Amino acid sequence: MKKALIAVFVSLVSFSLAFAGGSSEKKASAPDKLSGTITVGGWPSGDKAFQAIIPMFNQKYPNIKVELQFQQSADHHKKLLTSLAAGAGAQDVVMVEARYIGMFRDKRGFVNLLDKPYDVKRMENDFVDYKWQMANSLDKKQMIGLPWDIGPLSMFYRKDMFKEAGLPYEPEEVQKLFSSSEGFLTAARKLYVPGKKWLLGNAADIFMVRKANRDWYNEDLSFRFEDAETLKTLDIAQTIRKEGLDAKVLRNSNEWIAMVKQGQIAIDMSGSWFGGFLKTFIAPETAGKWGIVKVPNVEVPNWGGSFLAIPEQCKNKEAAWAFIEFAIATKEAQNAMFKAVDYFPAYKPAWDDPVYQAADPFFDNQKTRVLWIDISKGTKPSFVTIMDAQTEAIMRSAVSTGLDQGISSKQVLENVKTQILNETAQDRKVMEDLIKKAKGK
Amino acid sequence: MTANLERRQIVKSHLLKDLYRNRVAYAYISPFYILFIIFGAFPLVAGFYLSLHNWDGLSDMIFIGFGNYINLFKDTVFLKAVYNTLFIGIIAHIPMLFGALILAFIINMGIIKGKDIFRTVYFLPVITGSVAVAIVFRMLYGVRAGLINYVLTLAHITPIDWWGGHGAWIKPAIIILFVWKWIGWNMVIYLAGMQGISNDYYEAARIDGANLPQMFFRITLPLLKPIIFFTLIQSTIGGLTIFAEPYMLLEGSSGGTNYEGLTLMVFLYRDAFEYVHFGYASAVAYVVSAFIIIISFFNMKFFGKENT
Repeated sequence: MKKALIAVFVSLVSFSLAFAGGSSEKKASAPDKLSGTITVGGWPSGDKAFQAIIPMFNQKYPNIKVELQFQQSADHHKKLLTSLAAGAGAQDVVMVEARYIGMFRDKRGFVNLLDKPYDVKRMENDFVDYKWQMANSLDKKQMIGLPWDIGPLSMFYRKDMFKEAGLPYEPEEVQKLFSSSEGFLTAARKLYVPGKKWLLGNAADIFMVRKANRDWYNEDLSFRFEDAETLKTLDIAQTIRKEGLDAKVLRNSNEWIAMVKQGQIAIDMSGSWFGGFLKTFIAPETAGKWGIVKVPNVEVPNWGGSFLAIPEQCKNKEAAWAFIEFAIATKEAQNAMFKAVDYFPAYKPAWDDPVYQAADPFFDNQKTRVLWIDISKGTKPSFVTIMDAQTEAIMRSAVSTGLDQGISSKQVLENVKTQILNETAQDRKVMEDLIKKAKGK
Repeated sequence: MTANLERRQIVKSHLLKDLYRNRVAYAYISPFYILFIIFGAFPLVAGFYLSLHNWDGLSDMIFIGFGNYINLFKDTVFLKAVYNTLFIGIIAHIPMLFGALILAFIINMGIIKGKDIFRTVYFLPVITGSVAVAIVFRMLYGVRAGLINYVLTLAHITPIDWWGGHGAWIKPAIIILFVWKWIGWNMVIYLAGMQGISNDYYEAARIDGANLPQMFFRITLPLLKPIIFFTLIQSTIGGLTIFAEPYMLLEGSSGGTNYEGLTLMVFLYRDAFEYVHFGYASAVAYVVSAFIIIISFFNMKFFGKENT
């Protein structure tokens, strides 16, 4: 009797294992078999980008309807967080910004794209490597998003304002001018017209841009802002503030946008996507007046960029993945979106297109894309942590307070360390445990 | 033993019979209780439960007992937020409540013509959207391109550094917006209260030769005590939970330079949704509730139901 039972049990188990083994070999459905409606969530100008490729997408997948649900980046990420926590309400495909990826990548909630049928490991060499790493968990077992774009950092400057102030205005000379702190300060002083024109919106941005890629920590959780270059950058910011050479307005505020429009602010240091913002809503009427150069003194010349991910609660994962793969892992779609909104592809094969060698009339016919490709090659690896958002906020507050009250750079950087350690204590412990677990594997 | 059991069964069946007999009445009042249980009682308990844990929304909850509360009182930024909130709450409400009282008195006494127009005009800010109004005020308070600074430069006065320096102007900026918005609300409540004071008192006082200030302090104020108590409770809650004004004026949850504009609710919002510390933020909510209860207790001592 017992032997019979064991035989039945074993055969049942092996039977079911055979089926289980079989079902993991999911074959991708034919394009016209995939159907349904998928919702895509994100922030502008992502919606314009997707609108540019949805017709192409529907030619390949005629039965998948794509609906866009877009809002401001901060609101989108809060909605994403709460929907994931609640287990319902997230869109089928979501944009996740580089700033927030640390919050999600080691946790549950998203589909692991390393699994079948997505199997994204095969695409690894096609994507910019520091971007690829950011979406991979510490133990390398989970990848929650596929990189869409990168933000090669550049300094956007108003050629006409530079010319008017008697400064060199062609990109090569401007690059030389800004390669030293003396040059930086000279430019600031020459451009300054009290009450009317300033070099830039906020001296604090000079410092924050150096850490635009938000690499606050090394892999052992020591701070990555204790070097001499960082101190020097803060000193430059202090001098600019002391001499009143910055407009003291918050970057991205309504006031700042109005001032950029009016030609009261001469430069902005930002990712390449800022070009898209200028062209679409900030100052389209200033076409032809801008130029770009590399930002001096930056560690990792990248600001932001986003990923596309599928929340675990998605009910139509195949269709969602079809959209993601089409949108950001094909040359045609990436370049269509780039032409629409200037989101620089993280997908390297896309750079093989003549548009990247073209001159951009908005930038007075400068070959901006060639420069951006060059900039994106000079990046170092990134280390994302769950303390990133809080560390950035504390640092930003400490720097702006330090500039407002004229506190010495050394003291600002010393004090901020204790503050960060105190306030991120619990998250730090969690991060240390995650690192230990990942190493132990 | 069986006697107890029987008694309990009898009580239970009486309860059920009672419920059944009055089922219509219970059905009528049930919507409130159902909604209260779902949106009131459950979040209240669940929130407290959450405040005893660490939670990031995605992983499991980790129980840490009163750890969040202990860490809160060691957190210098939190303590600064407490100071800011109490400062703004108290300093804003003194002119607001006094101003509302005097405005209501003037309108009630019919000293000026067109009291309906004034009543409407003062109440209009209350019905505007907090966010829209804060955006407009932010434009007024612009350091370079703001209307107030523009007028000051025309009058040859140095423009105000609203958001910089030691952040000294951040709190006044928030307070001005807050008082502008809510003074009408309190005025309307006081006005309603004053309508309930019989004119005979004022007649008698006028015959006795009292002037307006005397009438205000000797008749109106004492009789208005319960209404004043009500507005004080409302103001406590409103002042301690102020969020839209600091968040919109400072364009985010940064709290401005040196955290001068960081109030408790902004602190909570930031810790919950930007730092993803749901347990910690929940603890903040309960500390705020505790403050409200304590302050209301003191209110009751001073203004509570005595002989009017």
